[in-house]
Amino acid sequence: MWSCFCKTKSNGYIRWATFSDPKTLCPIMSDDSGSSDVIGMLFTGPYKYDKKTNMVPDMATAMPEISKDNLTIKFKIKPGIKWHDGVELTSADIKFSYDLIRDPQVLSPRYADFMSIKNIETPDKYTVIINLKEVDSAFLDNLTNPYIIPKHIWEKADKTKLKEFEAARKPIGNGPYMFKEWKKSERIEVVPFKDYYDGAPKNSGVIYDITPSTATALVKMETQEDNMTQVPESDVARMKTKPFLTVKPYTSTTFDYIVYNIKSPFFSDKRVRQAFTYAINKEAILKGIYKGIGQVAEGSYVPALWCYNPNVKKYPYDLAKAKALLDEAGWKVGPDGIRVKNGKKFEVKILTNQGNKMREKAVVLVQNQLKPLGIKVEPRILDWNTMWSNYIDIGKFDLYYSGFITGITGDQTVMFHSDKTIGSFNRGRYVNPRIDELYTLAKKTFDKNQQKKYFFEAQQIIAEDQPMTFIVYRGRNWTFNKEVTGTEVYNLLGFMNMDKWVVTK
Amino acid sequence: MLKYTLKRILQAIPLLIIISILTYLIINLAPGDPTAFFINPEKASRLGPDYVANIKHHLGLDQPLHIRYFKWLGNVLRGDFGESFFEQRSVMSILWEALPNTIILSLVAELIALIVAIPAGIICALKRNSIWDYIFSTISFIGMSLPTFWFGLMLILVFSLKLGWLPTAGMRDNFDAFVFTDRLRHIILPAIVLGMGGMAANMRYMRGAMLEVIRQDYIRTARSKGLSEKVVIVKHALRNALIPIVTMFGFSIPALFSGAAITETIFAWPGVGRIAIEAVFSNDYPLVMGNFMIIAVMTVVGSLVADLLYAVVDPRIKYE
Repeated sequence: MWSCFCKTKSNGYIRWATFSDPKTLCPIMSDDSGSSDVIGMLFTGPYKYDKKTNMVPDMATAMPEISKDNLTIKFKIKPGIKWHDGVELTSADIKFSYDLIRDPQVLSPRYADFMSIKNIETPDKYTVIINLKEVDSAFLDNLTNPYIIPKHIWEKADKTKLKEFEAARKPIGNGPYMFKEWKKSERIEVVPFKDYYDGAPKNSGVIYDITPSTATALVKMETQEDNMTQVPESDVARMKTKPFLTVKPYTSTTFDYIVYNIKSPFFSDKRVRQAFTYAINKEAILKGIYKGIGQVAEGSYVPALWCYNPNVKKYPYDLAKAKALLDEAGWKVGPDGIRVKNGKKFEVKILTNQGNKMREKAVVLVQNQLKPLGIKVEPRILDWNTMWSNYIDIGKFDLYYSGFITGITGDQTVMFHSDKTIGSFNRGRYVNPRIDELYTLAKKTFDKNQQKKYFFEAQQIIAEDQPMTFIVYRGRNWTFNKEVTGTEVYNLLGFMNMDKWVVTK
Repeated sequence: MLKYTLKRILQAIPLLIIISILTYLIINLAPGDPTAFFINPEKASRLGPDYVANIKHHLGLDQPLHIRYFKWLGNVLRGDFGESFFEQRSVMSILWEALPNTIILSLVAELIALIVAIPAGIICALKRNSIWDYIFSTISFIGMSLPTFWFGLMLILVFSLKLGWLPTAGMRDNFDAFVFTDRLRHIILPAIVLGMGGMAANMRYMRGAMLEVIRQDYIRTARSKGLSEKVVIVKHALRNALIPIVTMFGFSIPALFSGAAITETIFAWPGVGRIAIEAVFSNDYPLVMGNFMIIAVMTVVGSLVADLLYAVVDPRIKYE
């Protein structure tokens, strides 16, 4: 017994090492990545994305029917879909779940996503009709999420305390896996659901092994105690040296970028922002800090996205152009080498959050790269909450270095719209009426080709205006023990079809 | 003795209240806003002030700090530590679930510490300035100054990764039944890390106490009576030299629990320390308060136990 100390036998289980400790398994209340990971195995939605990020039916029988006025979304679900307790899943469950999300007393983190719904009708057991208050094509994306819970169980719950209800810790779902056991801060075990409508999983189940840090998760891969985990950029090379591991990369919709405060006297002129983009050597940042994993970014639309526009203004590293643009904008080099305009020296502070080592290093690199331009940049590393509430949210900043994850729908209103209630993540307070118009138009149509046209134009305008300098698209990596076969990892989506994987030992 | 104990318990009440006020103030003044968890920052402005106010009200954060404190205190006096913001479960049930794991880890750690420290301390004292004295003294100084997280990671590196003898982290592999060997091999590394500081300190105390005792007249008397060296050391000297160790045990209880926070986090041990750290990071005020109050009570109780034990083992001490 003491001889086979370390290696835990997989016994056909996928053993997923993670450092995210789930908070709840109620799909309506969850808002952390640990909870979403597990809920994604236990629940499904009416629709899903295929490998190429096209929306395709999952529980639904066909693509949704949209009314002529674009205000009604209608779809049917397959008959005979079962909850894990054997009860049939019907349209009443869908209405019940979406109505809970829409109820302000429930305090669901998805409340805002469902605000455009007027009401939901269920004319029969399988048909769902969603009536919208206003045309909102971005709403469709919500139908791909596993937000549906069984009415016959949850109707007994106090809706203001859903997380406290027993089923939030012992969920009944409808997905490929059934909940078996949750040991807080230790692990969650799920096992195949024999009656899953898309066929029972081919492995013995999944053990979601909760470890306190990425470092521990990676060691557990090296000792072969676990057989899958996500690898940060810094450790990809190390994982690749292990003969029993494979590393599978994919591009995500995550990028790191610099946001300029456009209301500040330094960055109101777009030539200054363009000069910064010319002078920042993105290639060097990618190689030096992100270990070359990922891609140099040009805009907020990742190249793998269906509406990515390659024909926009590019800013290859060019110090001479940067200097010329600054001269043109009236920022002349002063006697001490620092640029001056109207008696004001070009001295700015770049903010970033504490604890993210890559960003902490990146701001120092940016500081050095801008020095030859005659611009003094002082890095300031702040606590996450302090940075947002005391500086960025109230517009008390020059520029900041941060990251962003966009959806795959192409709708990026939150980043660019000038109305604060719509463009809530437009922290640099960028204003361009045409951009506002384009994103509104895109929301008002369900026609993908029309949307694409609007998103293409938006990308061109943003490339010209440079309200932000996009640094890198982050590369993501999963590593698997070779005993897990059939693993599929796709750009923008990550791993897929876990239920089809086979564990050979 | 009884009177003294009662007096100490009464004195502890205002002390605990002061501790609770300070803790409450500090966690509420610390940066971070628990409502942020309920509001997707991307959508915050769309939700409107009513929605945010509703969340604040739901969490009880819409009232001024002092009112909130007194409400909390009132509930605590009735045995109710409130609900965790994010799990919506009662703080006590969360802590009760984790407390046994922490107690087991702490006891094993203390046991390892004593088993090593007592003999080593005796050897150091008896063979003063010998090579053994230097070796053990060096070890104890290193042990006292090693940062827990570094030492823990080094042990994982050597014993799990390189040698493959022991599991990397966690408390068990077998979730269906209690298997002693399974639990034992999981507890070895975290217990050594957690016990290291206490072991080093106890070794020093043991050495010092022993040195003092063996110079006493009654030891010389015992030797001159012709008793064997073994009897002199074990029966006469050790019993008196153990007094500071016994007292130290009381004080080490809270130290073990606060040290457990780091150890538990490194080794994925599902105890209260790990919960405390997560609660602090997520601004889960009720859970932080519950956790810290347990540590505060244990500190107070630990020092009381230490003082009482002192009187028990040392007849020269009397409390009136």
